Order: sequence, then C-alpha cells, then structure tokens
Amino acid sequence: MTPADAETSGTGGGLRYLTEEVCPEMVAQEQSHSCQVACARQLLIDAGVIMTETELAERIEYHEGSGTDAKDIAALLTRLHPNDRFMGGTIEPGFLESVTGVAPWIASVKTLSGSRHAVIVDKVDNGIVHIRDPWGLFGPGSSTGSRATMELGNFHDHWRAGFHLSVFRQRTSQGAQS
Amino acid sequence: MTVAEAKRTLELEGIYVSMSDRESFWIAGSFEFVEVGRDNVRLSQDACVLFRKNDHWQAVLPGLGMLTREVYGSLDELVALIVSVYRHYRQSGGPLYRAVEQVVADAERYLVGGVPARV
Repeated sequence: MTPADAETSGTGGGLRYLTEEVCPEMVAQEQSHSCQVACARQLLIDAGVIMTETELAERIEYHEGSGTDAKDIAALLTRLHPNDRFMGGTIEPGFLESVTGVAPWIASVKTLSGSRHAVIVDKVDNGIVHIRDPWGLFGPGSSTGSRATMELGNFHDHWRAGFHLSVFRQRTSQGAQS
Repeated sequence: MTVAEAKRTLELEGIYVSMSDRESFWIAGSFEFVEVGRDNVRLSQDACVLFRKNDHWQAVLPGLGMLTREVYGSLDELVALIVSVYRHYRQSGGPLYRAVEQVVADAERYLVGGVPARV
C-alpha cells in the first residue's frame, strides 16, 4: 500500500483516501462519466461474466455529461449477473452496515472538487472503508483502476453529499411499498 | 426554525424524514423496504438530503443521472424549498429531478457533479 496523495487520488483529486494503489482486480472507466458502468462491469467480472464497457453502455441509458442512474445500473446487473439481484437508489444512511454486509456494492460519492463519482465498496473494517476505484491512478482509459482505503467518517461525508445513492445486491427478494 | 420544527414541518407534508445525526436529514417522498441480510433497508427513488455545513445549511437535490443540485441557505429557506419541490413533484408526477428543475429558481446555477477535476 502507498499513501494516497490528496492532490491526485480519486478522480484526479478530491477523495480523502488514506492509501491508493494500482489494482488489477478493478477495471478502469473508459469515459469521464462511466464510473457506474465500470463498477458494474467489475462486479460482473468478479462473477465470471466478461463484457466490455461499450457492451454494457449499449444496454443502458447513458447520459453524456451526467452518467447513469443507479436504478438502471441495478436493473442491468440483475439481468446479467448469474446469481444475484441488485437494487439501486438512495438508501437511508443508517443502513451502511447492512449493505456492506452484502458487499461488494457501488456507492456514489461527491469529490471535494465537486464531481460525482462511483466506487465499489468491498468492506468496512475497524473504521476503514476498503474501496475499488475505476478512475484509478491515471484516469479514464488507463489499464486498471485502483484499490484504496478511507476513514469511515470521511466516507460518510462523501457518500452523504452523493445523497447516499447506492447499488447493492439483495440476497433475498422481498420488499413492501411504503 | 429549530431542527425539530424542520422535521415536523416536513413530516406534516407526508414526507419521510430520517436523521443520521442532529444536523443531517435524509428526506424521502416514498420508499420501499428491501430485505438485505437481516435488515429491512429503506430504499428511495425520490430522496434528497439536508445537512448543516459549517455556518449554513445545504440541501442536495437530485439531477439527471449522477448530477445533483446543491442549494445553500438557512434551515427555514431550505425546508420551504423542499416542501415546494415535493408538492410540485406530487402534483405533476415524473422524476423528482424534474420538479427540482421547475421549482428551484435558476436551477442550472446549482447543478454540480459535471466533468471530474482532471480527465
């Protein structure tokens, strides 16, 4: 692990990473706003489903300049993932531990520079959030994303400003409309 | 307006309000319970957040895709704004971000989340 540089880590600066390193187990996003698609692609790769970012983007409504909706990403993952059903939207913040219990999941965060970004949350351990970031160390189009760590309190701040948008797997499929 | 008054004002509009701490609201027009592990997680497609940031309050409202609109002001002002947004949303239908566009004056000015800092 290497200490993260606050000037350069996470979408070119702005995520308060403690550490960040190149990660072969994380694809890099290919477009400036395709972070959610890249995260979904990696979750599929983790399950043995190999697809390109272009192939995924063709199956979803991708808004140039604003990216994708969490609900659409969840529906896409549900269609393509061999085992799991996914849900997307904004979740009540007190349930971070619940969704992390079925990690990995995708969190939308706001960077200090004002951009919105999606990362994969792998686990929370002793107050440290373990993340895979499709931006990586070198930005869109590079060979891999990165693996990073962040203090839980800082993650909460970034996630809240991303208004708790999340894509997570649902191991059971029952729900009730409020 | 106190925090308790703000919460009560929103709830009287039929809006669900959850507080993760004394100065942070998660606000949802509707939600569903999703069973995740042993918990029922509230999941919403029409939520926003309101929280204190330094000496002011900030509302983060949805935009298209991954974009958001961030509005700063007093608690009174932002609660009034959120009430107006949800009233419009319920009357006119469509996604919440459309109601935000129509209720927030000069809405484009508050749009954030565009191109990342360094591409």
